Amino acid sequence: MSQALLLAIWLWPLALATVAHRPGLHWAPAAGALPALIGLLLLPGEVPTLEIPAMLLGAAVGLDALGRGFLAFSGPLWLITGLFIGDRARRGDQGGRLRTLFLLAMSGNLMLILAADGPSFYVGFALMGLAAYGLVVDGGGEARRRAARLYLAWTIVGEVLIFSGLVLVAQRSGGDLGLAALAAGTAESSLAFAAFLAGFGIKAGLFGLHMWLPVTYGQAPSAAAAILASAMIKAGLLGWLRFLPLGGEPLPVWGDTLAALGLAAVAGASLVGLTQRLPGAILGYSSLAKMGILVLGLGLILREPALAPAGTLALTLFAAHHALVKGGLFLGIGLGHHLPPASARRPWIWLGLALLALAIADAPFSSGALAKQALAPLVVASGWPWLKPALALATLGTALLMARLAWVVWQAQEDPSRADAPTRPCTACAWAWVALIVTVIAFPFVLGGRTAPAGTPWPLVLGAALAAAVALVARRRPEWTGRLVGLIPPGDLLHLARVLEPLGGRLVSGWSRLWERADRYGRERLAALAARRTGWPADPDRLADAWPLIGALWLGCLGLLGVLLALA
Amino acid sequence: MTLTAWLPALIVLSSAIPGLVIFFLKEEQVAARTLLNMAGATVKLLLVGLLILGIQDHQVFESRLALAPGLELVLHADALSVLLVALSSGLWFVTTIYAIGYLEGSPYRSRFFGFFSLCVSATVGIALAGNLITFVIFYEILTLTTYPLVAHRGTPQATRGARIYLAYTMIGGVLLLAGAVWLQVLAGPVDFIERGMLAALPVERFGQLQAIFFLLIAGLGVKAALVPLHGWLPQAMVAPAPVSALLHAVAVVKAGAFGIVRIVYDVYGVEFAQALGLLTILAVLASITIVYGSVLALLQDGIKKRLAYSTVSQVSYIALGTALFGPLGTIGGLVHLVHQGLMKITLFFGAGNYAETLGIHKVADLDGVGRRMPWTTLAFTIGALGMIGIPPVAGFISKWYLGIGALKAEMDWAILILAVSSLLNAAYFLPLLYRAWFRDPPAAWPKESIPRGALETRASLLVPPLITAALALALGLFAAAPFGVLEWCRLIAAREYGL
Repeated sequence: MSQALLLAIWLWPLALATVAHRPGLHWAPAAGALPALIGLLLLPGEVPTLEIPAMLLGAAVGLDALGRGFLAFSGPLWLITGLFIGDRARRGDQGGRLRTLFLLAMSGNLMLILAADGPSFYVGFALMGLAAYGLVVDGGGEARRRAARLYLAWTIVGEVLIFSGLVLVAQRSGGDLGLAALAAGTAESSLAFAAFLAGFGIKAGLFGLHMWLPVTYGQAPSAAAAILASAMIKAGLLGWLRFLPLGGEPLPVWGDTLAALGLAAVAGASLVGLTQRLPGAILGYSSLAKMGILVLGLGLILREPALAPAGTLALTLFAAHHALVKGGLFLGIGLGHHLPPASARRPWIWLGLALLALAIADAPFSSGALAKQALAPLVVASGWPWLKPALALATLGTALLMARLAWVVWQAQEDPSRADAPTRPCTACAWAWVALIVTVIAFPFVLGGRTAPAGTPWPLVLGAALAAAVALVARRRPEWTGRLVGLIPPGDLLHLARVLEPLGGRLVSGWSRLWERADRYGRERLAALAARRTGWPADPDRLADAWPLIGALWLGCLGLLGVLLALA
Repeated sequence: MTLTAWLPALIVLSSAIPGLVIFFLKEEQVAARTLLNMAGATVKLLLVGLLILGIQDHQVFESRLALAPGLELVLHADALSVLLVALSSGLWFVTTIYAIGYLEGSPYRSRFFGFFSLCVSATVGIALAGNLITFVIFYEILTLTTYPLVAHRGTPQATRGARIYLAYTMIGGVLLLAGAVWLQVLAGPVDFIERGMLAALPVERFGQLQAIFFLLIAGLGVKAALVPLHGWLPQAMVAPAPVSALLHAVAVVKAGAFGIVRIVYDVYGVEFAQALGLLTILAVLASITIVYGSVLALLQDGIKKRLAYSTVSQVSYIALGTALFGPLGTIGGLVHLVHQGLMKITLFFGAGNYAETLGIHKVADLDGVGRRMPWTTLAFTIGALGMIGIPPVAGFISKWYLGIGALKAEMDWAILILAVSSLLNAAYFLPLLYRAWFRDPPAAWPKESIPRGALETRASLLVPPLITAALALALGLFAAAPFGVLEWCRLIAAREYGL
């Protein structure tokens, strides 16, 4: 029974994907995630790993504590987003394609969560990453297409890096492709470590490899961005937790590197995010900042391996909180988009968004406060006294980002030209969103025991005050703040590369012209030479007319063979 | 007793005899020709099945025919032969179905199918050759039987392409023959023996052996399209799609690659080749070809041309695997012999379907074709993703073993080659898939010759790519399955390293 469930969780969406292109299957995207939820409820604490020796290079799936943690938030998110995708597919003209690719991505995500060996994880990761292209590009438009291409290019680079990392550790593990054996190999090869760090880092928005993320989030349809920003980005984190050597020897250099990258992301993303115009891009930068905290945590665990068990749990908790809240924010904004301007439901959407925004800004008694509290032992163990105030500043940054988001969404609502055409609201979607918010509210009370963490309200209060001040200035003197908006386009560092693009283009075209000339010159010289020596036609393509020569060579070789054999 | 002596010869003859008979059929005797073709293909598959069973039972299959004193025609089936025999017989079967559909109603079909059958006989002969001379003979027969296939359409472009093809391969043949003769003089009759036989020669001849190696590799490298000997391959793209499919996946390029494998493992012996320092040079040559072919593929706007340069790149994976000292590299190279065949034939079937059904030849015309021909495009997608190395398609398994093999052989740089090649593959395949699936179709296709009925195109054109795509997927997804290709390659590698 439990083994059948282990298979159904990822095979069922795969099976549905094969039929989901048919018209009318609006329920399919949501239904794909049902076995995952059933599995969460029914699978006992310790499920024996299921070996599938014939699959890939000997595959295995199971559900360990870490996998269960990730399944616990990914499964519901796929289900809820599935409802939104089903609704979107009903309205678009390529609905079948959207449903199919959504289910493929779901299957890949769930497979990588359950995977107990390296290749299976990789298969799931690749399936998820590639299929998600179709979610991003759905609906078309030039800007969206460009964002999707950017996403795909980075995804492929990530795949190749992860593959290199896998090969590097697999050759050390002596044929054992289990996750633990592979992770042990990562400890011995800094090349493999770097490959995994960067490969999964692309998905997880690691500082320096993050440029695609705000662009893609800004342009993707809100339902696609919701799942990208919730379940999929966390797959990158799971990759790190699975393949990096946590809890072995201390790795201070890597630990410090990760901590620095994490802090850089927190600081940079909070500032750049404030200058964004698109709600998706603001949320994208907010995600980068939150992922920065996770990277920081990962770095602290690498410095202090003894913290690995508790630290991994804390990171999972943080990931769950962020995935649920960020998914909810994207979905809520999407819901608001389709409402008529004067709809009576609008205040309810604002209420929901406000609750989610409070949670992500670590308001007291929220899931954010719990997640932050869970990280406290790591922060204390770091021995860095400045870290705690730094994290308070990060919270302040998030609060400001949420204020900026509210401002942008409000303005879009007031400007009817920027809203999508109002459509029949999807009731199931709305209720699913409400359920998600209820989950977020209940999160700290269920997981934190009876004492939900109060946390500290000061960063939030300070953020609100600052935001109010800025809003006042923006009202009175729009030109002051207006100068900052759009100062840094989504994708930030990417635009530094764009400056170099013409130069690169000139280099490439110059090189190919040079090559062509050299090639033609060489061929002409060769043919002319041949013509002078032999009287053949000077066309290099007509060498075949040199039958007499080839024939003579043949006969010569055969004759030689005969003579030599006779002598022997 | 008699079967073991006759089976290799029968496998060669099972396509040669129908081929010869077909030449004498009249153009309009479609039924008889189809019957002969399919009967030959079926008989061959059955015989190959017998062969595989026998080899698993450790039976020895050998047919011998003395040509002259010291010169014997030997057909000998070992585990390595079976790999190419099974691949070419299987793919010949599907390609014949495809070709019947593809050439429906076009002229000179008897000539075409006659040479088509002979071409497969030559390939099987190459696979079963038990000594170097037999190999050389069938290698040349292959050259001569494929020339009319490339020139089949008879247009100036086709004859020009075919002539270039012939010039390259004949010169390659001369080099191979010269190398073979030299080697025979030095070492006596050269039989293919697991782990080779040349290590026993006195040390002062090692210099000559190195020279002979490069002569042989140059001869084989023409068909295997090693840079800079690859020039014929893009020109040969003028051939009809089934021919391109067969040339690229099974017959010609595989003959070259298979020859390289034979020379390294069963003439020199891999340990001896390593000791002579030959493997590193081969690895470098293969790596250059892998990257160069991919870069040129990127620059092509014709679908078939792009696929042709992709072949240049992908076939060198086999040579690379051969050159990576150690069983894992060997497995990677050998398994890619089969994987590349399946994936590339799928891609050519797909390109052929687009051309034959809708008149699409250019990459830019692929827009929205996924909506008009979803099944063909699905097969094409599987082939393309496999070429990039996206799991779980078979190409991933090849790259996995090549990657680990490279590390074990302490050629870590080869990982970089694999990575760069994957990126380049993605760069030239993904735009095709994007256009096919995510762009809107044009108002009218360039030249729609087969209207949409119950199926998107003729069944005989649709079924073959679906079969090969499914196999390419299954070989990756169930790579570790018992009786699979991977297991067979492990067996070969174990024998070649004396494990």
